[in-house]
Amino acid sequence: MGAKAVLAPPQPPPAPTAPPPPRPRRRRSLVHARDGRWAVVFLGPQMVGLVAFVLGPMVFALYLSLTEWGGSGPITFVGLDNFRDMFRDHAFWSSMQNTVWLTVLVVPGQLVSGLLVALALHQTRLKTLFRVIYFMPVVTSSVAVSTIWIWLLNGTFGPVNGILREWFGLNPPDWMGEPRYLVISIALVTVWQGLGFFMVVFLAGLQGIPTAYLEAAEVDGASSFRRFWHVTLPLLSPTLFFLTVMSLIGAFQIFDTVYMMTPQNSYLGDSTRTVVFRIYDLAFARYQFGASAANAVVLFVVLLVLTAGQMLLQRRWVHYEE
Amino acid sequence: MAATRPRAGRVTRSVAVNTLLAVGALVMLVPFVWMVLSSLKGFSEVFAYPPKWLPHPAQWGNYVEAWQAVPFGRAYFNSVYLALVIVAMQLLTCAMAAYAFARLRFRGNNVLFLLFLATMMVPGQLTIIPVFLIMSKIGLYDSHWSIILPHGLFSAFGVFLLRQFIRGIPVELEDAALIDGAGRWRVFWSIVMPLLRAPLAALGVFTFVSQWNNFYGPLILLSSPEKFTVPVLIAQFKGEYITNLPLLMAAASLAVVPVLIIFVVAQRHIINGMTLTGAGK
Amino acid sequence: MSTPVSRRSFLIGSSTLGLSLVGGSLLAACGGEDPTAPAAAGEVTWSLWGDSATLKRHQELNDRINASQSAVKASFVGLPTDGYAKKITAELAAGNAPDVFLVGDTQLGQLIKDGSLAELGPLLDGPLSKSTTSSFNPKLLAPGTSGDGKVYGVPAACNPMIMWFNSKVLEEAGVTTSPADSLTAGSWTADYFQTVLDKVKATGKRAFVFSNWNGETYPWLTSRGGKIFDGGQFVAHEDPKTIDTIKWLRELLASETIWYASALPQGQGADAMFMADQLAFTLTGRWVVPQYRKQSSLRADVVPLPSTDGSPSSTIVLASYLVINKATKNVDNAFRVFTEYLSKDGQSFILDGDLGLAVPSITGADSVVLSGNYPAHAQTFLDQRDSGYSSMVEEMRVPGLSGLIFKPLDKYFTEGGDLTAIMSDMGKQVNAAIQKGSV
Repeated sequence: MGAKAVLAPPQPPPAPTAPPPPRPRRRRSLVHARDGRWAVVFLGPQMVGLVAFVLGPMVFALYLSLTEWGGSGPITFVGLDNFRDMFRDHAFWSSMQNTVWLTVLVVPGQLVSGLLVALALHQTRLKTLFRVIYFMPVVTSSVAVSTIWIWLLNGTFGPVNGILREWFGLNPPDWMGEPRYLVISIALVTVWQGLGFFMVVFLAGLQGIPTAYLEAAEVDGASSFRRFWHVTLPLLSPTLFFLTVMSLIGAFQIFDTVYMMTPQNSYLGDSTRTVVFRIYDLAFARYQFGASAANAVVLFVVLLVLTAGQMLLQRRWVHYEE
Repeated sequence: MAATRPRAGRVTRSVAVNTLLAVGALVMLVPFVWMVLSSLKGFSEVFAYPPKWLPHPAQWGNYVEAWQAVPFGRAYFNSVYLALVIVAMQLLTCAMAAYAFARLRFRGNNVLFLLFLATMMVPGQLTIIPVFLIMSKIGLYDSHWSIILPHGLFSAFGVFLLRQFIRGIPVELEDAALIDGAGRWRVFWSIVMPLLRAPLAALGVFTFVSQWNNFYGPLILLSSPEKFTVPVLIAQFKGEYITNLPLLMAAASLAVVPVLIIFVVAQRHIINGMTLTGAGK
Repeated sequence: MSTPVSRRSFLIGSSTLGLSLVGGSLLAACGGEDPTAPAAAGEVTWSLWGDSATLKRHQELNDRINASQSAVKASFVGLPTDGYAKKITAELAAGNAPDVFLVGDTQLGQLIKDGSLAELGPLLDGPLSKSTTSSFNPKLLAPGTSGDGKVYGVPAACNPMIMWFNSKVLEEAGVTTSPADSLTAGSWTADYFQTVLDKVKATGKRAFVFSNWNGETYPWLTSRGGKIFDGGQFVAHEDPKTIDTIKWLRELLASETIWYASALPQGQGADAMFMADQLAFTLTGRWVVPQYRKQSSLRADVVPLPSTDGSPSSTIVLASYLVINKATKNVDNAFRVFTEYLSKDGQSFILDGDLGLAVPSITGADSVVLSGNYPAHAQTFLDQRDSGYSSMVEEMRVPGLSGLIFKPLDKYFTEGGDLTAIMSDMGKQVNAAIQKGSV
């Protein structure tokens, strides 16, 4: 997907007041003179929140990762033992693998389905109705959503397999009972629940594309696919970038569905327990808060690297109107 | 305009689009239909084998029982109030921060923004206990503020979203006003904010919904039953060994409806906001 | 427009604020004391988990306690089952946990290790007590007792896992003598049970749902003489009776004589199927009484699991434990509420008829189980409570140990495999974890 438009974009509308443009250097110093002080004002509230409720706990977690703590007793310093044990633990690597696989399933699923629905919605007249319907899962509690899908996907008693057997004559697998299918089921439910959100943000992005560009392209004879690929998509790329990052980070942190849909003490969990689940399990089921924190630190670093990579790559494909 | 395509083609296309949307809508809806149907079943009907779709007879009493079993009314009020306050705070603080990142030049802009992004990678499971400790120390344990402040004052997601949108707005308008002598705040408030209606609405909706469904936060941070929110209440239908599925489904249905209504109503505003800012540009 | 605060000092200020909050909480977490805790003298908070009906009943007990005496003012905080342990953990860390609360299996072991609980022995046998140590089945006290013999938690309401049978389904299968009568006649043996299973299978139904967890797997193993732990070590992998029983269960599953719980959504549904006359048996506790009673078409009764020789087998008695927070302001006041809950009156009130969710853990309140005469052989609950064993202490001491046992078994029950190899691996891992103290 190239950032170059095939067609020359039409002239942007003139600015409301059109003063003669001053020389660049003067303009920059005028406009950005007091930026530093304004930054304090504008960033102030979020900074307070950041430090008090996020950085603080993160520092605490970092400290915890070097200790052994059962949650209510004394805190013992153990240095890097937690990290050493973690990298030696087969279960940790297995959870990493599960996380990656789940991400591979979920991210494209969310992006593609969200975009397709947004595009379709953009062209239909029944916008309001469909928008509400597609957003309903987002609005429902994860407890209810997971409970419902556990039922629907049950291999023996669930309606999904019932329909597949009776209407289509298939012999469907046990979606909830086999390791490789359970992961797919979890991914499916996650995509299903999140679709409305991606749709809403994509729609907001689509609304921001000036129809002037599209009309010009149509007049020039471009097919709808070319219009999409060379006009819509590049102009949508800031939104797409945002959603890709969100989706990636979110997929790495999927917890609710994994927790609810994986039966307890079941070998199925070997294929579905993600790193986040392990973090929870170590802390709240096994009372090893230090090990849990160590896992969280590693997860954090991995995500940091991935996101930094995304941000570097964005220069190559994200097209800002500046 | 642009009626260069033959009429028949446009109609086929429109039918195709609507059909696909309808099929997708079915996939979205069927689980809810199942939820409502299950909520009307008797306890032992749920596990009939082979599975039955329709309850026979419909136990409307489940809804009454669910409503009376736990203080739903109070919980609704709490959930709505919390979500609205958080949304209001977030929209303002996120827009401000996003503007700073997108337009202001100061040292550490990119690094600080990366830090913001980085915080989204901190698993919530980990921060809940330290946040709980902090809230207890500053005396906000069992207060709604312990939930409002962390979310209202900070949202990397919101900042990220709005920053992207602001960067997509041509900067000439603001520069012109600044050169004319307007202060940054005025430029922000009078020029940029109105152009952000669509993403602000999207962010508001999303924040409202995620706060509405927030379970672990209120569970850990609150202890007085009259302060509980709806998700915490619904969890009470999950027993230790038995889950009364019909009651749980009835409670879940009761939880979904108000939010849907709000969404439908708010949707009008989103549409209005979008048409004002969108195509006209 | 100039701003009064420079960027630098602002950043310094907010960082200091944030770090001091963290630092303060770190110190507090280390110290475990909370000087700002609001409880006044005489005020006791107590908590446990439950569904809405249970919690309502406990609130009523709370009001009763307050009405009947003036030494303490009790306030009850009922919490949802989901996330209860997590909340208690957080509250203990912050220093505002309730004075008296209920704890589950694994959390009890951890709290004893951490030293967060008050010693109960002297209190139980002291002047304020309404139920002494001797009112409990001594085997059930084991999980709440530390290595050096001190008692930190006692079972509050327990549930022996026994078999309910569906008379209608059995009669339709041609089993004319009820299992309870077979037991009295001494013929409720494993062999006889197998014939019953086959008869039920012939009618096209499956006999029961088997769920692989300590509440069900263990009773099956022990009912046939199998051992799981002995002398603090895991011995199941070397015990032939245990291995045979596991094989037998797998055969039942493979031959579709019984359901495996993971085939059911969320592993639940055994009760509903039982009530819908789809099962002949279900292995469960007393918590189902309200549901079963409401289902007027259900004809059900209880019996212990069949044993090799026909004598009543002993089963696992699941329990949750009542404890006192060591950091409580006044241990005697906390104990007053504690002992009220565990008194004959308290237990009778909580476990009364309609709620009927458990069996009193103390002797003397037994009438609450027998009144209402449902099920007909309700006495079995009491007998089993007295002859049963508690959850495995070894599992409670090492959180996560259960996973090492049940996960491989789960795979075996679902897919089959080489049981000897599975068990031998299991033995090594479990004993290593016991040795290490953690998983």
